[in-house]
Amino acid sequence: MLALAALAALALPAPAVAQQTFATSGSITYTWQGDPARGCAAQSLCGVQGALILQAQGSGGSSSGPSRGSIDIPLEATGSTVRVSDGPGAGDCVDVPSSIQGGGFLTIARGPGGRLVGHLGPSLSSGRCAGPRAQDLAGITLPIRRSRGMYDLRGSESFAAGPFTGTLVSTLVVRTAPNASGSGSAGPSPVANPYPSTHKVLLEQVTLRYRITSLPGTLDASFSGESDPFCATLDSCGATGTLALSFPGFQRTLVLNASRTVQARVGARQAIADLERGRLQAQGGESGPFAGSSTARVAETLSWAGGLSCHDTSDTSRAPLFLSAGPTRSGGGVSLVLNNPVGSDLLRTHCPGPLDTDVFGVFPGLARTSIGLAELLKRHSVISLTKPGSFAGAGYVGGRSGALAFSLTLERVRAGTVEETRL
Amino acid sequence: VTRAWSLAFLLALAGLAGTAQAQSGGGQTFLYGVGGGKVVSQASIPARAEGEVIVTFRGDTAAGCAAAGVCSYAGTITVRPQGGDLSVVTYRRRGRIGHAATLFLGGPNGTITSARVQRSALGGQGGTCVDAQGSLVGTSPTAVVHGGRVTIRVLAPGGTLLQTRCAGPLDGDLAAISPAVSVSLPRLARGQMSLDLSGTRAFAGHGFTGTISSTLVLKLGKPSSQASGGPSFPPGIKTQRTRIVTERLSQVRVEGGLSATVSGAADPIICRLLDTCGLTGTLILSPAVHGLSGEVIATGPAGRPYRDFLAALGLTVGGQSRGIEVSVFVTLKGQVRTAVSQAGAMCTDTSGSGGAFAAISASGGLPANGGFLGSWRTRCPGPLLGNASTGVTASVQPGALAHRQFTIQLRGSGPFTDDGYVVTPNGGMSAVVRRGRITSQVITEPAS
Repeated sequence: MLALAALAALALPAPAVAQQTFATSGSITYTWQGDPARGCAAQSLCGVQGALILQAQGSGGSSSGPSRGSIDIPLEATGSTVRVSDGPGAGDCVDVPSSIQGGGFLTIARGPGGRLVGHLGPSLSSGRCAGPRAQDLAGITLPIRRSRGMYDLRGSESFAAGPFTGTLVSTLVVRTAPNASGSGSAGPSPVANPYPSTHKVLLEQVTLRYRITSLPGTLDASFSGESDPFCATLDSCGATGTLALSFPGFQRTLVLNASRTVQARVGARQAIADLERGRLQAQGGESGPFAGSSTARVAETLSWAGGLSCHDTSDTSRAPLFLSAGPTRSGGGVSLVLNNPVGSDLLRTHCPGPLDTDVFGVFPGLARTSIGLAELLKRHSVISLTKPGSFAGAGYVGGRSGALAFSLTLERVRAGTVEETRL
Repeated sequence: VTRAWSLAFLLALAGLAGTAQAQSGGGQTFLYGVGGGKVVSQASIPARAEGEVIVTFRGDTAAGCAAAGVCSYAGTITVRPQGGDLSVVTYRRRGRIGHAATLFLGGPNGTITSARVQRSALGGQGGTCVDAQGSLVGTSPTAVVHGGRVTIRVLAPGGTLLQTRCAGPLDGDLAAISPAVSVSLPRLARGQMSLDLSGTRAFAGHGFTGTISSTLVLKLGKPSSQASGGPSFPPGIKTQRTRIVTERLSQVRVEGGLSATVSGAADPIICRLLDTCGLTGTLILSPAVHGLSGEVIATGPAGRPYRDFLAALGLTVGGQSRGIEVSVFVTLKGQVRTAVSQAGAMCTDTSGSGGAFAAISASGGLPANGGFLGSWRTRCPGPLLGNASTGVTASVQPGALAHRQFTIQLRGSGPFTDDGYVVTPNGGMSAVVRRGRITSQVITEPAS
């Protein structure tokens, strides 16, 4: 953390500005409350008032963003806390989700009309408490006034997030600082020669390309608040609920490669036979761009001890899911895992409840299955991915059940021997 | 140069925080908790944590709550680390072999420590402070190595496991009675064992009575050794050798005092959720500073003559200082006195682990950085200033390095927020420092 303070001025390689340093100050404050006009009564969320403050002081370092001409400035979030009052007679929910601890980024870029705008994100949310989801807050932009050596993001913006309305108040100012004497770069170190020596091997290989589409099915979780005092911080004492996660319209291309090194070339027929006998080791994943067009849909119900309940359904478009494949432990098939990167918050709705990492663990596997070797070469098959079990911690305990069903259509088979270059 | 400056600052922070830098074979290792020494070996043992620590407390006249103004507070603190890492270091200092063991507790799942503290008010409306702290690398407890055995306690003086913005006892108040486990150093270094830190104890003191109840069990994994020869880089990574010449600074005198006025946030939603509505207070870093640590660091290519570094430090006129980055680092530690007023009640307390830091580029160009250091938390409610890497500006006089003694000025700067608090630093300290011992080391790092 102190190191971050020291790094409050790092070099910015940018097309127009050769080497520029920046320093940030101020804070970002999100507040929200249930809004009857947005249907909070139906979700028992009208009494909710919440806040999240992100300090920007001392955070530093900047780099060119992924798009030309943009600037990414990390915002330190250590000590930031989500606080939500669940209403008269209810308790307070306080959370420090790890996604907030990771901090955020301020991206300064040209918006529509060429005006400078600031985006905050991507992982700020109300965490396990009732309030806006990460995707609600990620869409907010801050107008920027630029004067000599300063980006002024002070101001306020209203936002709506499900049954809530809220305000973002920014006192954030980004100042350009004098350049360091000499020249320096905070960028990655140059790699002299990442592949110093290589050799070629023969691979007996079978490549299978599948079309994979979702069928009706949900991953389910039932949860309840932990025992006192662990439930007190999240105001989850006596609460019970369910979550149902589905991926309607999920459609991807899955490529499996099964191979082994050989001394001499073999033909396609031999390679397929060796695959069926379990002599080739399989691995693979999706083909095409990461984070395709999948939508993740979660339906949550939560009932408090007093009898009130909250129901909400949330869609995460462009959910960053990906499939990965590898050999099973027994070697008699392929293990297929549906992964969900940490911090994607697919399970969060506007109701309070557990995070993805609470339910599925910090390892990103949402569900898995294994496919027998004989199944791999079928033209059509249906697979079922699941991850039953129990979970505990961070204010909630519960169990996982349910399964995701997918249709697997084998579109192409390539088999034979290929030459591969290896380190 | 910016990169070198950052590197130097990291090195200095490690050193200033009571850390020994050990040079070995061109590499460098930081040894926490040991005041100087060369690292002989270092092992890191991952730990999985099961269970939790629960502290329940209330202000009690028999424990002296009236004098401190904490009679109105009662609450519960829960600590639930998910994992940790035990570092066992063998070092040589002044010809003798020593050992140090430090346990870091934390976890990836967010909240580690949470507190719910009720504030009662006679004839008025009280409030509830609810706060949580998460840390990827929570620190404390610190293990004590003595006579070939390591004693690990749940809580340690100066630790931060119980630390939130709410009122309540400090780690150090309960350290002596917190559950502990003792194990031989050779056995600990092999890992793959459980450390049972469970137990329940009652306490009374510093204004509070209560109990600490722990079910914490640490399951140590397999140790991984780290060579003392410094980091190695994958094949193909271009590296460079950098010389770091460090000149220690010692305290001649410190005058003045840093302070901060604090108040609850004006937004009623925010202040109510932390029970800071109407709260005002003052935090003062005592002029009787416990200790000043400082260094002047010259950083540059290892191929440059040593006299160039000495010239950059102002110690000789025979070298070329151009291209050598020089930075001044200083930390001041002392007692923090606090007085917090809310709803007509006053809470006053003192703790001894606050401080301030400053980093100044003597080569020019880069702004000085400064901020609050350590824990400014007392038993009264208040902000977590240890997270504030802002609020302090620093300067040295031009040409200061031409003299054997020089003055570093630290001043409080603009207001900032800490969750439900608004903090306005003010005051200033003037530290006269004397330059002392010089050491040199060469490290290997990825080329810039």
